[in-house]
Amino acid sequence: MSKEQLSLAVQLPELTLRNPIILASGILGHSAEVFERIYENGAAAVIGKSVSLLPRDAYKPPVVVEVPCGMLNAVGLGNPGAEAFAEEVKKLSVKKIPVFPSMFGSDPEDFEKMTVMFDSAGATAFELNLSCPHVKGVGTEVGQDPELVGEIVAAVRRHTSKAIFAKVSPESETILRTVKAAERAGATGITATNTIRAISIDVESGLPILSNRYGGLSGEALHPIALRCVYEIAEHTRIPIIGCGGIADWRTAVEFILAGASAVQVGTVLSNKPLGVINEILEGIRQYMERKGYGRISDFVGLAHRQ
Amino acid sequence: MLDSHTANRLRAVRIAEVKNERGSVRSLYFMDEFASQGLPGNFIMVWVPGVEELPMNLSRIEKTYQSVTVWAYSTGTSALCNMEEGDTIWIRGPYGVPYSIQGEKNLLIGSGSGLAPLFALAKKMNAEKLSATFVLQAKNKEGLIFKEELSEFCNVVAVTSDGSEGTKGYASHIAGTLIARHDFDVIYAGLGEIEQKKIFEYAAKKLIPVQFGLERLMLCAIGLCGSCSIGKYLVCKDGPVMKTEQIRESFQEFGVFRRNRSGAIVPVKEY
Repeated sequence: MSKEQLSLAVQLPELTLRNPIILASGILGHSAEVFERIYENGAAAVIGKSVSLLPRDAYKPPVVVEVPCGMLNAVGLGNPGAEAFAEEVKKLSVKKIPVFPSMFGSDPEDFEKMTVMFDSAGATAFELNLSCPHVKGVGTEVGQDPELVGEIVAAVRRHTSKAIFAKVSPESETILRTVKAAERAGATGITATNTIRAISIDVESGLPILSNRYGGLSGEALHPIALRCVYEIAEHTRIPIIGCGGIADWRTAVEFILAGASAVQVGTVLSNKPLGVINEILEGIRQYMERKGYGRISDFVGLAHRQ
Repeated sequence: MLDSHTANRLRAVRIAEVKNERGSVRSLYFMDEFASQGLPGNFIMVWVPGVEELPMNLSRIEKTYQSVTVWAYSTGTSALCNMEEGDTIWIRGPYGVPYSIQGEKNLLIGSGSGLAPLFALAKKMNAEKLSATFVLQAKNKEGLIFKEELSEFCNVVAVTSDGSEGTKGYASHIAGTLIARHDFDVIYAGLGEIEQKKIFEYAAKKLIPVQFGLERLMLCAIGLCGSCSIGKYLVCKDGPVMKTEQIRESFQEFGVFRRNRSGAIVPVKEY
């Protein structure tokens, strides 16, 4: 396989990516300039920090805790509101940097309003946060209600023809029902997974460390769990999947692709490695593909399901 | 060898001593191995359980003791100011890009919380036998923190806006005169951003490199949440000390706007 024949590009319905690595939601905030820097460091697209229709303050620190096997966060879905973030989307769209706004809420009407704003601002695609584990009423509770998921996805689909990805929780017993509901309502694909609900206690003070007490676990420990979710979803449906959870190097990224993901997201790794890690992962994937004789990412998506 | 994973874990440290600086400003002394290897400009996150976790610059960095210096202006800082010897604080870090010593003739300009890391820097310069002129700015004489200690090894120019001690005026103005009159190798500043921007222009006129301590909303301190962004930079990872080129690249935002707790753009306030 010559270098010229190999391509890292990913082709999904309504979406083309220059490579399979996307910046995960909630990482590195809401500024177009910071996103541009991530794009310049190799990411194919950036997903915005989840936004609601109206602004929301982040929680008071401590909002992150490093644990031996990853990271807990309860930043609190702080965001400047859809209108303000649409301005950042416009800036990125002008520079042709693919950006997917991530939206959360519990009212389909809110999602409709946000979709209209972002679609006209030049969003490349959409991600729906139906799975935040540390904010009441707008995260996992939504994701665990397949009927509401269907209503929200349908509401978004009414106002855009671009790709829509529903981001699911790793701990929902109803994960497959949620996936089916999203698919039926017009979602392009599924992002699996969000963080998992967790806690960390400081033994000297005897208190939970996060100001919100509960947070979402990401990083190393999440990887086998998120990977299992992708594998399971791929067993039961043909809908495109974006894998997310604990990717730190090319192997942990390739695992997701073999499990059935067409693309992957990185997040936590950027807090403990320099931004160059994105290109390192891409290079690792490229070398793996050369070794195995794959010309396209799609050549090995889901191969781990072979009998 | 500093292991970043261990440095990121909150660890309980005993407050060995509390020093009343001037006015209601207090320094908390403690001993922490990671902090002892910090450099002027580094900051730590300090947790007061049940209250808040706050970013604090190291004001003293010695082998056997370190300190943070606290101005009470919020619930969290007030809680720290009320602490006594024997109390416990939890810390993680140190974080950030520190000040770096590059020349022999140095101008340091500081006010408020920007003074803490510059104080540590001035001490280090003195230890390396380098000259430092320190413009120490405050609203009134109560705010001239570290003046006595600094005067032992620096040329201190005290400036108060109300004239209650030292020269009456503003740091940027005094600094402008000093920069025009002398040939400094590097200019270090930690004070209000609007003032910093004026000083930046004076330095630029004479092509003198600058290192400014910047402040932005600090939530995670580890380059994850993006709350502390200025331009394309993160104050927690690319700062808090930023150099001439980085500041120039962020000029649209520097001294003009910052982001609040929801990430919305708000103007930088003059104070």
